[in-house]
Amino acid sequence: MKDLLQTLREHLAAEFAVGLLQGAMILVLGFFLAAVARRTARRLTRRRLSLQSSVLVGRLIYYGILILVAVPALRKIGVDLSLLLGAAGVLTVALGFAAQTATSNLISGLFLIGERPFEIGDTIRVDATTGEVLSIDLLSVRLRTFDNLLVRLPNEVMLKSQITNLTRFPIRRIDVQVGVAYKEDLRHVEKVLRGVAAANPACLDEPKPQFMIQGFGESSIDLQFSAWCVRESYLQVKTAVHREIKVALDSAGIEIPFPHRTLYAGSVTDPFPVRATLADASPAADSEDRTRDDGAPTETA
Amino acid sequence: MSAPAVPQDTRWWGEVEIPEGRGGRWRIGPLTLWAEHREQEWRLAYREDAEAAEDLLEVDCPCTPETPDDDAGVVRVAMRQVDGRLKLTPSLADRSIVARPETPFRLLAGGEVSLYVGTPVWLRVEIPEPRAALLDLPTRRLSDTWFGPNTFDGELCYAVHTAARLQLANLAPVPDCAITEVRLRNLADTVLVERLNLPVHHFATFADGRGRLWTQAMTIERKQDGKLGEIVFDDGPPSLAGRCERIAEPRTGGHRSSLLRALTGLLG
Repeated sequence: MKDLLQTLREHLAAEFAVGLLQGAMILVLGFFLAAVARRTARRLTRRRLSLQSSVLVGRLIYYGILILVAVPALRKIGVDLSLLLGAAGVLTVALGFAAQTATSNLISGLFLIGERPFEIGDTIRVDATTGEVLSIDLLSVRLRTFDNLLVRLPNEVMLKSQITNLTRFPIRRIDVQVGVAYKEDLRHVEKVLRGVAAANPACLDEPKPQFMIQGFGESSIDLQFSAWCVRESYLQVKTAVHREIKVALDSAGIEIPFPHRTLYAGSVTDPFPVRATLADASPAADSEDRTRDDGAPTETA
Repeated sequence: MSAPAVPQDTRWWGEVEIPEGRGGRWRIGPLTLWAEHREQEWRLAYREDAEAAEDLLEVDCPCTPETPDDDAGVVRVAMRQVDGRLKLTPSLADRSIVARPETPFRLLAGGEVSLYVGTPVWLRVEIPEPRAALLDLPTRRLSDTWFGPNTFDGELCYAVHTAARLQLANLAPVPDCAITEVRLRNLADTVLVERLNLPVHHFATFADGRGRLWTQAMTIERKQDGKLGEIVFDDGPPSLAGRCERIAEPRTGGHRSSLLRALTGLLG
């Protein structure tokens, strides 16, 4: 009897070990197959689909194969899947409460993928964060900022926020705010600014540059000059246009004024008295000036 | 009417041989190109001078190698064996060119007119063996422009302001420009012609007997309903150019649908 039980125990252990080994082999093969299938799918779809769609197809194939492989592997190991299914119902409720945020992110991600407000490679601005989209994952979007930081934005946040896609359209407008002195001839200023855009081949001929008077500011007449360029060279052209406008205005003798303030000393109509002295006047001479012949001080500023 | 005589032979293209230690210099309109044959190396330099005369043409090859100006762009190409031959070819722009007549004109209903539009060419420098392009740059930097119904649907083009002469004799010969004859036929009401989109990247380059550069001629018809009809491209330059030699192939194949799309807003 003892021998029989011993034999039975050994037989069961051996069977379990064999099943475990087979299940493990199926899983390993499955991982390998899924990885190869994902790589192949991405390579085949790269030309026909966008990068984002290609990555998504690869992921679907990868996880699909893993699920198909996991079922027979678990059976081989000896796991009763019907029990799992039964427990799944209870687990679902528990997980549902625990994974509300994750589920929301997942569903938001699907909406983002469907709506396609941006794609991998686009530069977007979300609130105060601007960066290049590195990946659109199940739960989040990853951005690389221009100073090389990685920012992870949950999909739920993305769906609720205003997203500005800076690279969706092929051309962009550069707006230059400039103020000129009140004494300047605005027609002449416009001619100078348009000349800057015409001389820069990176500024598009069309749409035509625009010249706008924004208003009469405290110290200057506020203008906006807008020129268009291709999106790839936006920063470069923006810098060049600002520099060239400064040079052109200086050459034309057009003043970009500093902020002006007028001071009144008590009475509205009397200005502040100001005395100008020569730069090379000696301090002694200067102090003598301050007293009259009878020794009383003179009026000074 | 035949093509008018040009004041000098403006042929600057073709194959040249530069021995090792020697160089070449070409001044074509605003563009200056230097080439130097060094041991196992070609050294090319280029510079654009906006002040240069439009019809400037000076070719000095072979010559003593010159030191290019400080602000010149430099390209060095290293290879095991340099056989000393260079081929210079005038090819057309790598994008469509939007030609704006300096003064827009009206084409009356039922009217037909031929315009002669000159567009700058690109200078392509190649080595024949093994065939490889060393340099491909415009003889003059053109301004970018957008051509399309709105700011997100259209194409990036180059902009050229043209006299759009109705008589070829009135078009001054320029060594770095290729002439396109554009025949406009208007079967609808009077239309204002403000700009023309020339898909030159689909055109080949031709040279006539006097060294003037041409492209294929094209005909645009505006149908009775006001829409653009089929745009017809000839196989070669117009007959008044005389006998022409094809010297450069188009940059891209002429796909019909893309051509029609690019030309839907042809007439402003």
